[in-house]
Amino acid sequence: MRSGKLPLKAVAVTIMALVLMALSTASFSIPVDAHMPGAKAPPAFELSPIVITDDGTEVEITIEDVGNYHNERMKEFKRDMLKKQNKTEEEIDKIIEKEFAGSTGICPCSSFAFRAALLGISELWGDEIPERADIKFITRRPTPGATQCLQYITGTGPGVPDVKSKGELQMILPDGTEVTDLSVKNLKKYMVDMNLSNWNIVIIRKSTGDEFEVQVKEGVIPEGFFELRKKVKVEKTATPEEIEEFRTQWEAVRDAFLTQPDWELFEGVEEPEEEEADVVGGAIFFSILVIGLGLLVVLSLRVRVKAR
Amino acid sequence: MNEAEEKFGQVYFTILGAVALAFGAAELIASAGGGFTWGILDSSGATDPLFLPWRAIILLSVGFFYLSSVKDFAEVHQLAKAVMASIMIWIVAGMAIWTRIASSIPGEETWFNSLEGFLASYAPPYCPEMFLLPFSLVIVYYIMKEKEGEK
Repeated sequence: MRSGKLPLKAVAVTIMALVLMALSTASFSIPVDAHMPGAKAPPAFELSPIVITDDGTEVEITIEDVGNYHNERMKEFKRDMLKKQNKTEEEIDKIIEKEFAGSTGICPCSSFAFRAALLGISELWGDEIPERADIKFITRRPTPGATQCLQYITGTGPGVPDVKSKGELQMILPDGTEVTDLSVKNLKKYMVDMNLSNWNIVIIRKSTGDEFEVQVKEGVIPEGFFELRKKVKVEKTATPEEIEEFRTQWEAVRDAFLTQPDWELFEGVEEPEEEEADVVGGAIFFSILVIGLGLLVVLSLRVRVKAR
Repeated sequence: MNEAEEKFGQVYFTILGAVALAFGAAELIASAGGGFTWGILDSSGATDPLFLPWRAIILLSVGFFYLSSVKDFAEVHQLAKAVMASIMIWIVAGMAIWTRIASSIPGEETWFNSLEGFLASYAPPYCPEMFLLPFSLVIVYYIMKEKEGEK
């Protein structure tokens, strides 16, 4: 009897240990976004950098730079929050390490703001490289991701590297409220009820006064996204299924801003017409080429025959 | 080469030389300013921007050679200058045509291009040397005349 029970216990303990090990390994291997735990990594994408000059020095800003900056700012915010909860430095480090493991900081908001800035700059400056101090953004989106992306571009955020001159960033919500304190803590107050009108940024070329408004198209944000977001992020009353549904939608929005062309994402951007291949022109030239080469061959043969 | 042929050659290669000079000057300006495409004329240097200033220098030289050859055109040394200018055009235009032939055969993602893609790759715009190419062939007539004269 004894010898029969012991192996059973041993097997149970081993299985438990294996399950625990598997779970702990899984929690490290799944890429977790800071704002959407469990979110999958974005698909392969290619986004050109935003190129500006800062006091004569050319600066290239990639979406990865923006993501890293957003990540660092969010870690700092979390650290401050945990400090207020009287956590020790060791505990704080552990929590942050766990929560931000695998996070790139590239979320729907930061990628939206990056794409909007990229589009606005190309519309207002064309092939010219804008001076950082000449750029102004008016954002309607009070989220840390979008705000910190624009702070990074304008150099107005805390800890943005190599800033010599600064652009301007203004936050005016769709209802006309101007938000001057752009700290994460303050932004949280304005993130409760958001809709499509918050996916809007105005880019201004200060030297000329020209401006370009970027508004996300209807359909880019999935149906029910705003309600789900409120349930998951604000009210925290979402069921596990709703959390999963929101995570899927969150990934879809982020991926759209990373991979889709401007005309599919933003209002008023026309799809460039595909240039039709000039087959007739090509055929005419090709015919002339063939006839010319044929004549050349005939001529050289006649010359040879004559020579004989 | 009779007098009428010499006269025609003088007028013809003066015009061709002037045109080559104008193209050369345009390409020189284009290479300084990043190139341009005007209708079916391509001086953008899109395929090889580093070659654009060289092309300009070659065209200017072609122009000078043609223009310097028109005085005493029937004289063999003068004719040689026009032949040299024509050969310069043939080399550059030949390279441009060869580039088109080579790039027209493979498809973007397939081994072979479609018929439409194949023909479209010969479509305008063309570099100035390709426009000058047929006109430069007139020199062949004078070479043959010179040969006949030798006999």
